[in-house]
Amino acid sequence: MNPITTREARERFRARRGWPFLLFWVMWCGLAATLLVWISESITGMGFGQAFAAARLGRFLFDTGTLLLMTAVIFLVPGIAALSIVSEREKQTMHLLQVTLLSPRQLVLGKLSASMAYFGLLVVIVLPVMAIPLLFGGVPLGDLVGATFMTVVVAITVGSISVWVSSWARSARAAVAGAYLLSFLLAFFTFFLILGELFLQTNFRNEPDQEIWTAIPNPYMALVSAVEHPLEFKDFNDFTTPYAPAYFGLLAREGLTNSGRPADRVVQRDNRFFVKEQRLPLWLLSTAFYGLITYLSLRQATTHVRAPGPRVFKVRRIRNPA
Amino acid sequence: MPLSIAFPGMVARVGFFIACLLGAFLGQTAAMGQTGISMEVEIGIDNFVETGSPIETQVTIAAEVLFAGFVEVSLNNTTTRVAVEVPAGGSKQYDFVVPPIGFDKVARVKLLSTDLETLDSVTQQLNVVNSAVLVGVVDAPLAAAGLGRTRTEIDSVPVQVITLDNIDREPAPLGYIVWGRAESLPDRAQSWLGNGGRVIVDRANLAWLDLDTEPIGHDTNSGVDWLSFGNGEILVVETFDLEPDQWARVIRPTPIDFGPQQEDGGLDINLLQAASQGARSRIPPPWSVGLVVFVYGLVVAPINFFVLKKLNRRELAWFTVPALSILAVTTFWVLGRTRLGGTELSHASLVVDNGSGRPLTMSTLVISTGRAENHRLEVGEDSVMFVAAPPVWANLGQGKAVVDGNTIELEHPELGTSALRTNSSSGVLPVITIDETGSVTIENTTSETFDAFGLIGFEVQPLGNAPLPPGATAAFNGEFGGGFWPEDEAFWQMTNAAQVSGYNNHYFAFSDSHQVSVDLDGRTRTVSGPALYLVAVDPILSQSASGKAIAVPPGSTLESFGAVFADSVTVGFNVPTGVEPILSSLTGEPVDYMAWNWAAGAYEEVASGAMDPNRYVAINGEVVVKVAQGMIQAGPKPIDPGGGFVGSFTPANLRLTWESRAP
Repeated sequence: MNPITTREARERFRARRGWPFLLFWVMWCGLAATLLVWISESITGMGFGQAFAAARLGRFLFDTGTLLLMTAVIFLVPGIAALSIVSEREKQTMHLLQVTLLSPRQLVLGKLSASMAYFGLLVVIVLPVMAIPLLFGGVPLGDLVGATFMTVVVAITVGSISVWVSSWARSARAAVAGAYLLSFLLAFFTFFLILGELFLQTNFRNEPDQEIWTAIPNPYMALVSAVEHPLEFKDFNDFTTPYAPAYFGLLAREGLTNSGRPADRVVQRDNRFFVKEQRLPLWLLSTAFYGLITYLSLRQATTHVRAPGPRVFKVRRIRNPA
Repeated sequence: MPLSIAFPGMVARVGFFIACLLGAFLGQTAAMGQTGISMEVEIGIDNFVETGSPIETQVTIAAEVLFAGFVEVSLNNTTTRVAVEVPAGGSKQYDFVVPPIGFDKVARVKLLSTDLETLDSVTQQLNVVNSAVLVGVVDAPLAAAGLGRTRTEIDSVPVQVITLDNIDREPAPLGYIVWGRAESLPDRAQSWLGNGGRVIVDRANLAWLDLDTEPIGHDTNSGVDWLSFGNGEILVVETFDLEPDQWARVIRPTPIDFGPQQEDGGLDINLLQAASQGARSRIPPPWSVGLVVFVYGLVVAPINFFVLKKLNRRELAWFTVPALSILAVTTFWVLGRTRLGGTELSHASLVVDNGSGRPLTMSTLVISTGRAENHRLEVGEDSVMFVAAPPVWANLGQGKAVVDGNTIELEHPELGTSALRTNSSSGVLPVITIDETGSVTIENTTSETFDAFGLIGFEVQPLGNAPLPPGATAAFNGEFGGGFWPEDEAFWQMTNAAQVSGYNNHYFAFSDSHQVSVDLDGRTRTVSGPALYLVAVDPILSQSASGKAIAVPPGSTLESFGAVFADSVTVGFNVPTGVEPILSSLTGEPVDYMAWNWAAGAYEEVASGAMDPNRYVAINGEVVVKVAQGMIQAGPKPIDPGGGFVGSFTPANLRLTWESRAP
């Protein structure tokens, strides 16, 4: 195991504030889940009766829970990872790390994995809360795997960006601010870019006939794409799932709308109607994009934590004037 | 040379590969040819179906060798599979029902082997009648020839002719049956006629009908004699060899089928809601979820860390926290499996007097299971059961249904809520009598207590105070009001269902404890749920009739939610003969009316108020009013007079009233 990860793992719970934060985190998520069950019961029931409310409640909870978890990634990971390197600089222990046998890459990866390990623990500790939909049924295992995969990928990417910011920031405050700014740009600003691109492509009147490139970086679109893979024709007319807007975006990518099912775009399997996709799944493109961003961020961070090399003195030779 | 050595080997390998491919292809072709299996499919009446009704499907399979397999019909997101077996060299006919059409009107029929390999497939586009008058002709080629070139005199609606060998399926989509066979009408046709159908016969064949008819009179415009049978009518022509302009006066437009609503998938939403309300709660209360999480939080954080602190091994939290978390998830999973393990049944039923002598009980049955399971349901032999297409909002995981007679095997691949419809000719209706003074007496002849009873007309009106226990009698003296409605959401859903299904002007009695018996997985289950008993009101007593859209101009838009946008709409009524109808609109909006003058064979402008019965009421009591307005909205259900759509018009809101029979 990376020695930095080991050290930080040992130190993490020595502080007095270790368990109160975990308790606060679990209780906060629990309260949110309780409210969500209460809201879901009202929304999914909507006069259709208990039988149908029960049938849809698990799905609604899962969809909402995964979106909230992705939001938690955007809000928590930068705060944890942005301090990883800059705090060493502020404590003036960076040069001690630099003189160890650890390579710059090991140092950066160690910092990243230490941050991610704690975030992972925060996710693991609220797994029972996320598992509440199991009480209601209706969530296939594949959807759970898809959601978890995309959340982990986004968490690593946001963590890498934050470590990169941390590697060149001069103060902890600047590192945190910079990391949050980039994360928010990735998560939220891309929504406006998507709308802008859709407007440019379609004037909001026709179906788009090209790839929506700005959808690729958006983590929420990627999450819904991973869960809703393969893309299925669903009837989200009643908007009782928070996935609906992203789902409409995925259909738009394929040049489809929610109202029509062109016969040449339908693939029927068992009793379900899937979209005959003309583009690569969005989650696949997003994963490739996040992989690239992660690689570039860590590479840049590595150059910033590299110990200064020996100074090279240039010797100017003076030719013999003779 | 290397090339000369390699070449023959390569040719041999390629040749062998091609031979293998050819062999496989020819072998397969030969195998398919050997089976010699063919399939003929008839759905509805020549692919015409009626919205909201199960579709009768007939599949005939001929096989040269013994064949066992399945016929599978996919329609409206629901697949119905029927096991079939055809003897060698024979053919066999299978009759079964598939769910009503929904937004998807394409039926895909497949013939499958026992290992579900597709052997033959047919795709058929289903239609509802909304722009023509559909006429089924049996053994009357002269009539078919004349009718094929006919448009109705009223509004010039085209006549579409279907030549039928026999009437062995529900003829509901038909507007008329022309019967030229020297035989009595088949039972299905008789029942359809008694419920308001129209049959045309020539005088030579009239006696063959052998029906207890009542004479209505001779229509001078069309030159035919009109007889009545139940709520239907028989038109007697001298000969079928009529010219198109003569047929144009005989054939009148029939009510437009607005098609299914997009949302309901062919299933009445109101009945489904009422049935679902009856299901026992499967959702744990939110406070219990909060309590469980609170206890977990206490264990995983303070208690866990307190113990680790005592051991002076706080870093072990990296292991104890995930362990406790996984333990909690496992507990949730086990609890969920245990809690969701049961199967629940609930229902809502309309028990209707359909004039056949035996009440028709239409039940929507909801089956809820918490996990992927298969179920086998069986109903009585007097019942027709079909899988209702899941409404889009229900977002169900209903899988395939295998239908075999009165048994359905349901697959739930993900989670389990299915909706079934059963139509059964069973049940008991309350006895409702009306004396000469207009006083109504309701006798509860059922075994259930009525929680409400009253009249469904333009609105739901109470006839007296409930409850009315079994065997009790309530009298109504003509004054509405004084009754109380039950605080039961299902009550309003059921009365809505009755109105949407066209049961206006019906007496009703509501019970929330109607028992339906279902055999589920070999065990008989008695399911209690709401029921609405409906008995038609004699229009003479109600002194009012609401209209139905019968024609719209070509190019009008018929919306799936029951609206038509058109420059005009023609509305048909039926009133008792001998009354002076008064035309009025419930919305009170000013519109231009024209009424059909039956003697003159033309429209005449009329105003709201009393209509001249000699001009505008046909000898069978039919009144045709044309409404012209820039924007018209026509729907199957009357809108709330107090609310309504601004600037629009609903035919059901156009009504005729009358005071009493004219002397």
